[in-house]
Amino acid sequence: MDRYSRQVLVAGIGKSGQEKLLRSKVLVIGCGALGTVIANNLVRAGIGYMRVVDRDYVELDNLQRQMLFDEADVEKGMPKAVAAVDKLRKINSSVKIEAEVKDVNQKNIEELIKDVDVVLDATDNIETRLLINDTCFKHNTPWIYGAAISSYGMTMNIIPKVTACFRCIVPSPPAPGLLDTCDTVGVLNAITSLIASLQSNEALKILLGDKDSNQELLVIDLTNNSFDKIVVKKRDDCPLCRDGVLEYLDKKGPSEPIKLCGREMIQITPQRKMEVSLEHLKGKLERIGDASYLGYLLRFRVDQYELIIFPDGRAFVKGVSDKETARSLYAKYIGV
Amino acid sequence: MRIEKIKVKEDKTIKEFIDELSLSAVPILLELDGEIFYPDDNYDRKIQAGDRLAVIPIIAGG
Repeated sequence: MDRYSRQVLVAGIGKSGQEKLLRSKVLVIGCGALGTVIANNLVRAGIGYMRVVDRDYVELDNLQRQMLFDEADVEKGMPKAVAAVDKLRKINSSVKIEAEVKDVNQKNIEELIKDVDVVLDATDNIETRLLINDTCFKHNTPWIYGAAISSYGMTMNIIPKVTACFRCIVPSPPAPGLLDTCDTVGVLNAITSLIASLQSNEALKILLGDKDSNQELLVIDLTNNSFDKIVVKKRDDCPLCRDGVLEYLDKKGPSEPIKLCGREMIQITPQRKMEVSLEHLKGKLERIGDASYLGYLLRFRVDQYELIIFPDGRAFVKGVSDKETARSLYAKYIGV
Repeated sequence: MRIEKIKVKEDKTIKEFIDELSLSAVPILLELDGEIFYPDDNYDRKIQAGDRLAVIPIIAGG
């Protein structure tokens, strides 16, 4: 308890509040600019258990804002979830922390969410948020939306059956190319740190049962330091709030390839759950190109392309901008 | 992302306002006097003197 003495002194927390935090379980989905700050704050604050999920690996241009990574992680091509958890365990060894290197999808999200008290959104796309929204509604789990680009960010607590849900705000994913991304307009580390800190603080409030947790959409713009709180009503025609329709969780069929935010890179996800022997695959691929197995992932370079393959069969295809080419390279070299 | 204040002529509908700014295809939220305004509910509502209407872009970066 000594470790948390300054936090215990804060009105509304105390020893009993800290004990409550020590028994709590949280899930952080995405371990980039928001996720690293959220995970850092919550592990230092002494939550009991954290599961960190991310599909990506650390690259040099992440270091400007992704606070748990360093140059050695870039050098080793570490998966973000693993690199983050390594650091977090050094920060607070009394918190049970698990890394999950995977893409969150319809097949695995319920397993990830079902035993946690709150979900922190640190993803980079609308589709995954709509999936989190459905799953948290089904399991009655609060979640905290957060997003940031450029100097601008927003966050809102979404409490199933109490507040408006994410579909009330964004009824369906926007067509590809319509949203600004960190690649097109950049992002400041101050806005990601600020939004993530608000999210982690709201998580503590929810875990402590604080009735003052934020139930409005908070919109911040650091160009003029504006902080606006906007009341969001449930939408009368929201299929989730009105009828409980879990459109994104119940969606069947293969996962579409996803173009990753800010890069000439496409993610291919296999249609079924699988485990790939990366060492075996390396043996096959090194005969036709440059293949290196890094313990967590396999990197394969051939012609002008690069494939980064994960044990769950997922792959990033670099050097392509269209989904068809990415899919055909995946079929050609991985053959699933 | 920059906040810009603009004056709008009274009696313009919200739909006309959105079309004029070429925002109809862009994912946005509208805030009217501190509350989210869902255009589908009342797209033809006329903007009145004293209304404070804000256009909030939806973002996904994390």
